[in-house]
Amino acid sequence: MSTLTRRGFLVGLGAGTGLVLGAQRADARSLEPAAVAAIPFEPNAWVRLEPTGELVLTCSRSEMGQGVRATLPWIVAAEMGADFDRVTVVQAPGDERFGNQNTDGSTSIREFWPLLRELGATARWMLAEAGAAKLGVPVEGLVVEDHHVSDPASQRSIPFGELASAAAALEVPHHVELRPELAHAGKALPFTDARAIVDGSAVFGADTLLDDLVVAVVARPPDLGGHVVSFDDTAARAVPGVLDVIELPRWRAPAMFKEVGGVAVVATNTWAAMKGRAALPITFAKGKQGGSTTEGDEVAMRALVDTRGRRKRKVGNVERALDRAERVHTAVYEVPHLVHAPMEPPACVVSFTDDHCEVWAPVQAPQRTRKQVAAAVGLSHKKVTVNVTLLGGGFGRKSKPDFVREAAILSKAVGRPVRMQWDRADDIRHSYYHACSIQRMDAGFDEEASLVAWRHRVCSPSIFSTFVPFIQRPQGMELGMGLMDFALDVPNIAFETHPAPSRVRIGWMRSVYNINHAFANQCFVDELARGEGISTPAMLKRVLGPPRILTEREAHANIMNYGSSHQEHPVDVGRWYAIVDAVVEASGYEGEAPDGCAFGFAAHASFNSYCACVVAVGKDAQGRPRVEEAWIGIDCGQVMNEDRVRAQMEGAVIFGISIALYGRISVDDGAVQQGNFDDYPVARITDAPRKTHVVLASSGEAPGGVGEPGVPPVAPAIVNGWYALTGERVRKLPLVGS
Amino acid sequence: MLLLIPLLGLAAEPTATNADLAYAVCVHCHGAHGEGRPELWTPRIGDLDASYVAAQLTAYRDGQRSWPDEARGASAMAALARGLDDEAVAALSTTVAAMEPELLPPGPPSEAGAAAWAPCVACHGEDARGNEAMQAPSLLYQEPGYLRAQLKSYRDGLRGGEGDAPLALSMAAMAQGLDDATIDALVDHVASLRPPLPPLVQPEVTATKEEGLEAFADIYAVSQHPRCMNCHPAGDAPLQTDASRPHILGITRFSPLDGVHCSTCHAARPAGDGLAPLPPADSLWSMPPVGMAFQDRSPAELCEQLKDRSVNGGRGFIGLAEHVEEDHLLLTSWHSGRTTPPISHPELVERFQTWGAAGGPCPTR
Amino acid sequence: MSDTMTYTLTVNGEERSLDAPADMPLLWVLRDLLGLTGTRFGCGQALCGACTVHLDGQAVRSCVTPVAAVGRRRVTTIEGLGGSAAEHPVQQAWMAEAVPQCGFCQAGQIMSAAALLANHPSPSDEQIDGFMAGNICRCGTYDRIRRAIRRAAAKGESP
Repeated sequence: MSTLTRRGFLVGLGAGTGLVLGAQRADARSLEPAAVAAIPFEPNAWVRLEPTGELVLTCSRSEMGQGVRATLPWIVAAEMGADFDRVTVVQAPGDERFGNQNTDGSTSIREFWPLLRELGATARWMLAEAGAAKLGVPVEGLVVEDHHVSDPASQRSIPFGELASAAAALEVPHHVELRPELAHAGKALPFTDARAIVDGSAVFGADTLLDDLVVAVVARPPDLGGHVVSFDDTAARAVPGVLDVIELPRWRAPAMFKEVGGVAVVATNTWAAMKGRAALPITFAKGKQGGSTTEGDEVAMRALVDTRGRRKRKVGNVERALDRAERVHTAVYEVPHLVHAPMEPPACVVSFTDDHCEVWAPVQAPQRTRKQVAAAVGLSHKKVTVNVTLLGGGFGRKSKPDFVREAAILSKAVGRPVRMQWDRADDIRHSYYHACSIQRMDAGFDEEASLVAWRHRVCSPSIFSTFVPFIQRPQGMELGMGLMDFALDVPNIAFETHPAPSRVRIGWMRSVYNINHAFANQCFVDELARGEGISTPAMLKRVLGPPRILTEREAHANIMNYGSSHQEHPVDVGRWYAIVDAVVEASGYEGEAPDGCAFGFAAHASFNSYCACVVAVGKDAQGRPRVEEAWIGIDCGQVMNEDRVRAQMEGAVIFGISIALYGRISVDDGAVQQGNFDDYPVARITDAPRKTHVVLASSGEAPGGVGEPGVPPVAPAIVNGWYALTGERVRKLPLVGS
Repeated sequence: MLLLIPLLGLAAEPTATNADLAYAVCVHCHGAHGEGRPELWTPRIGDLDASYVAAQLTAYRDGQRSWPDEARGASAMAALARGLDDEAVAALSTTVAAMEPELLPPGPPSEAGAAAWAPCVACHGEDARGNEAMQAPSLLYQEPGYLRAQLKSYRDGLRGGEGDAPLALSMAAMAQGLDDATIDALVDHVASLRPPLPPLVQPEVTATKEEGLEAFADIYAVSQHPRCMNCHPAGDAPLQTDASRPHILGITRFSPLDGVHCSTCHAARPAGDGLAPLPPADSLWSMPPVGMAFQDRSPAELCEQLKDRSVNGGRGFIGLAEHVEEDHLLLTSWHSGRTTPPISHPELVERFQTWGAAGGPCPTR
Repeated sequence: MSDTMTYTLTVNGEERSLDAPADMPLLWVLRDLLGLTGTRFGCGQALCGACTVHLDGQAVRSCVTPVAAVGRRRVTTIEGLGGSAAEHPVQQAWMAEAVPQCGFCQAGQIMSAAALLANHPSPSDEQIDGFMAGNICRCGTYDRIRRAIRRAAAKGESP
């Protein structure tokens, strides 16, 4: 989270017009009444109250289905006492005024809500002050609710709009008290874009229509680091509608957010561009990854995890303890590369002119996009405007503005606005992939069945390789996702890492390394439980140890804690217990599974929230695993928008089913082999459980993340359930494949 | 069926007319020649006159024909019809009226049926060929199971109920009091009214048995190629890719009855346009009758099956060779942009001719 | 092979004339030539359903339907399904159940659902799943889709 303070926002960055008007307070009374009456109330960059009463609230996080465009403005409005029916939500462009706009890491509520409440409370106070002045009563007795400032004693009230100009003349206070709580119990929060989505008017990345707009598609080198040697554009240019064929800058490591190169076909419409590309014979030379195969890499990674790695955590002497243990259980788990495949493939519109560049793009990080586009076209970033459209799914893919750079470069080259359109094959073949991993777990028990040793070896490429190529193994940030922050009540512990080559650009996908680490931890716990003859939740509690706060001291390691302080979001083993118990009870895990099914259980904490999952796994008509029923519980602290939390949990179950059953990206001769939903299948409605139960077990703590925490426990729960049903222990994903 | 408009512009490639495009959603259930698909409970429609077809489509569209209580697929009919304006109804009716499905042989006589038939004559004609002026359809070649089901529907109130067309109400009245045995007898009698099939003209025997068997070996090899076998599966699901796996998304021959048509995802498109693999498609994409499976058939079994007139559309060797030469879907096997059968289309036609000219000998296994 | 020709299509009740090559998929005709961006591009191979429109009321994947194959059949897109007030029972049910998350697949889902209910006013759970299996949602709104379809079915007579 940014280091800027609340005060900094209100006074320096956010106050904008309000501060100016505040400074002119003494002069306001000398303005003509009509002029005064016409001034809107804008205490900060997010809030503008019109004299008509219309309240314009700016959402400065990107909407990709998690509901920020409803929830964030609602927090402001609820704190302010506004009527949400009078609210218009506008999307913020990329601008430092809005602080951190990076929609990533499940932070939009957990990092942002205190500021949002401050913004609303500040506006409320100023409206109350204005109302007090107008009513001639002390401000203390006033009620600010339902878009009115009211004096119960005299039964008078003034609508917000009528107070706008007066409030605008006031100085913005530096400290305001928040309401004791935000009232929303029993009220469903409105869904900002519901109508636009169902009537087709919703604007996504490809939907900005401009005069003079042309469309570009790119034929990219099949392997990362490959480049164009030669091409013959005669046939492409002969396709009616094709305007130009342009080679993009050659890619060089590090990948960062740069385009990967290739040849662009620019045309008057998308079909012509695609046909032009299909008619373009290109000779590519292979790069450094040429000749590499996922199969080959996996062989090497498997060999590595059987050897000692680099110690990242050490307690006691795990080798000696394993040697002396009464029994040792060993398992190797494999998670392949995965890809986001959001329903909207990357697409955006950029219009470049000599002194300005305007962007309309579905991006998770508009400020980063602004800088990247500026660098790509050689303008100051202040001359780049990034308008954020709705995102047709992000999951982390649209944090990387490589596709926007492509559009900007081409717009500059052709002198017209350009829509960059990726098709599904482009999206699956040229993405930033979830890091694969091969992990070996070893656990030792003594004669009294106590756990005496726990060793976890991870072999995985690092996200950092995308930015610093020589970094080849997971770093602290990545290990902090389910490894370092996993409490272990074991006297001898070792976490070790091994390097793995990055054949592709490694990025981050919804819950990131938590997918890998939860898979290994939770499948292993299930295996240990069955070996020891106790239930999996009981074994998990044994492994975690008693309810307590896991300190970095105990962990003998730095716990990155997802950017939160340990004061605000301590790693609380007690909350693991609570969510596990809640889901075990709700599902009836300890009893009979539904007919033809067996239960599977897993739990995982991530992004400062705690999550547990039980699935009832059966078989479909072809004898393949099918999740018939699912229970997913989350303790995400205080809940702001209950319906959206439920929706995110429901969606996480489906996302997890895709991971468990189908997803696998593989490389051959350096090139990604998959290309569409036929060879990279994802869950369909036929894969959805008959019933999904969401258990909200809030502890009342500070809000934790919601968008990602639901994903990690789902795949291990499914694998554990498949074992319970069939006796087949699967340690390598996916279960079904394409 | 002769095919006109070039979607593709190459004479040897299959093309489709506008009428074909409109019929695309009908072909799977009613057949390219309107012959019907008993396994899908659909009627033979190719004998019907245009005004009757138009009246039925309109009745489905306007909610007069009592659905969805009719057989499975009736609500799909209503949904399809609701998408049609009067112009589309007229065009489809003309298309269907022009169809000429294969004639079927007469069935054995039925005395009870003949006796019960008298009241039907006034509208349906002595010869059961129907009467356009009376708006009574031809029954003569209608699938017996379908006729039975309709009489029972009229009798039991599933058709001809309140709100249905006036003539349907008359039919409901006519069907009152018919017991199942009488219905069976009536249906048998109608089938017995069919004229004998014209003698089948078989080709002259101008090839030896060995030549015939050799030709059939090639025919069999073609039948087992994915381009052919994928739509002639042993089960109910069409197959996909050269690996001949069951169709994704649970698609079976019954899917169109539920409103998921082949043309939902497989539209007519030019083949070999150099783009990334798209679902292969043709405007008349549909599955063959259930008896014409190629998968899991031994050469001997396939040979007998191809000659079986009750399964092959009533064709003799000449008809078979013509079918292979002209059939629209069969032609697409060589023009889909994917792997092709082991011999060319003209060669396949020649093999059928040779095989027929040898009297259609079958291998022993 | 694909010379540009003039086509007159009936789209959402209006006659639209346009010039396009015969093989241009209806999807791009709608989006690029007619400016109707409500129909979405998700895969280009009829695998995801985001491009679903109606031809004469029947669901088709417009990304693989060449404009030459449309003929006289009437095209309905999401913009035309429920009129300007989004009044189709399916659209109403979608909002009542708060179905969408990112919303990108939903136009296709709604068009498929409308076609399903036209075919089966009271679909069984199996029929719902079977019919809607062609429409992918990466956000995972499937359970709400089922609920919204059942809600729309319960409301009504044939849409």
